[in-house]
Order: sequence, then C-alpha cells, then structure tokens
Amino acid sequence: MNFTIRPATESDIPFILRGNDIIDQLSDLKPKRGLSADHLRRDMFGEKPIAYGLVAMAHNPDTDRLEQAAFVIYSFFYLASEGNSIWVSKFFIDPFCRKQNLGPTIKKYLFDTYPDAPSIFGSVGVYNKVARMFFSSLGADRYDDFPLYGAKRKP
Amino acid sequence: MSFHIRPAVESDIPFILHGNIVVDEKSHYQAPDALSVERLKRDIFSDNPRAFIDVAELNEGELGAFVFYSYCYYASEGEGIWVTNLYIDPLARKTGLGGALMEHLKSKFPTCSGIYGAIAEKIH
Repeated sequence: MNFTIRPATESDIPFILRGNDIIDQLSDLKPKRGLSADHLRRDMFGEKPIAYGLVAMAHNPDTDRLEQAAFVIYSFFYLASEGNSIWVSKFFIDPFCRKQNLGPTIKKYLFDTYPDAPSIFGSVGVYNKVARMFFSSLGADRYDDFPLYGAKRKP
Repeated sequence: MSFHIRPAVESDIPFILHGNIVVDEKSHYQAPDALSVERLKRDIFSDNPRAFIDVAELNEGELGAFVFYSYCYYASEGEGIWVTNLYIDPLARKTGLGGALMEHLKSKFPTCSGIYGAIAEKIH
C-alpha cells in the first residue's frame, strides 16, 4: 500500500477526533479535559503551536478513495539524560491501513524531520494491549523502571 | 530554613552536574548522553533554551536544590510541565524544599495542566 505523509491541517480535525475517541476507548481512559476541535485549533493550528501533527494519506480499497489513514500528535520535551526529545501524545492508524508498515514509516519520518532529536517517547495505557503491541513493533523499549508520575492541577 | 528560588545561571552548572550525577546513581541509571557543561550551555543557557532550571538558594547563599524541567504536551490534558530532574542536597532535605519547588512551578505556569515526571522504581 502506498501512502504519503504530510503535516496535519485544520481539515484533519474530524479525523483526529475520531481516532482519539478510539484510542481513549482502547485505553479505558476518561481524560479530565478531553480533546476538542477548539483545543486542536488553539494548540496545533494557532499562532503559537505547542504541538504538531502528521497525517498519512492512503488509498482505501473499501471506498476506492484517497483518505486519511493515520495521524500522530507530537511535541518536544527535555530529558536530562538524552536532550531534547520527541513526545508522541497520540498515534492512530485507521484499521484499513494497519499491518502496512505505516507505524515504522511515520517513526522514520519524525527522525528524518528532526535529526537532532535522540529519541521518541510515548506513554501507553497499561490496559491498552493494542497500543503496547504497536509500540513494541516500532522497536520501542518499555521503561518499566520509570513509571510516569503526574500531579494534575486542582480546579 | 529559608530559601530563595531563582532561575539558574551558568555559575550554577557545577552544582547541577553534581546533582544530576547523584540522581542517576540513585536511579541506577546510565544516561545515553550524559549531561555535560556543553549541553547545559547549549540547551539551557542559550538564546533558544530547550529546557529550564530553577535553583533554591539557601539563606547562606549556598545552593540547596534544583528543578530541571521543560514543557510537555498531552493531547487529552493540554500543555504541562515535564520535570526531568529534581535534586535536593542532603543538608536541605526534609525542609519542605521539594514541595516549595513544585508550588513554585505551579505558580510560574498557572495555565499548565499538571506537572509530570518519570521516577525510577529502584531508587536506593
């Protein structure tokens, strides 16, 4: 299957929201804030973006159309041990395009786009078996010794 | 114990490197790209910083702690603060300095969704 990867645009918002709902269901997550079209417009497509998106386009044999097949939402964060790294917040591949090597292709695209970034990191829900297998298939190591701690701001 | 929290400056680098080594040793962690003076100057103390460090200065003028952090983004939560290292000198422990540094970050970034960090399970 051929696909092309491009930066996400505002017209991708419905696709991103649909994929995000599926990820949250698989992760059994009920985020405090959740993700909305307004959040995406402000955080990714505003004057000062704080996150970025890529979308992969592929031919969908079911509809015989070129369609959005995958997206990744990412940003940067800093590790004292490694330097400025890429943080993948969301990674979604539409079922019609799974098992087509699209995940590794997007990973390579990120590394090629940001040659100074030493690593790509992401956090996966422990109950999300699909995501855990997916990240393993990307060659990502699981950092069991470094659980993520978060102190949410109280309202 | 009273203290004053301020942004780190280049003359704090020896303290930061020392604290970072202590944290890595306690975590039984060997960094792939160990923190160095050059990397701190490039990534922290430059015109285009990738991350930030705030230090706690004790009333005697000595450094007692630092917090090393950057921005991070969780699509479902929004922009947050990622703490990559938090070091408190043994002489300044159990004085509320750690909590004060966290409160300092919350005040400094009032719109951030939260403060996050990954901590070694095998700290000794």
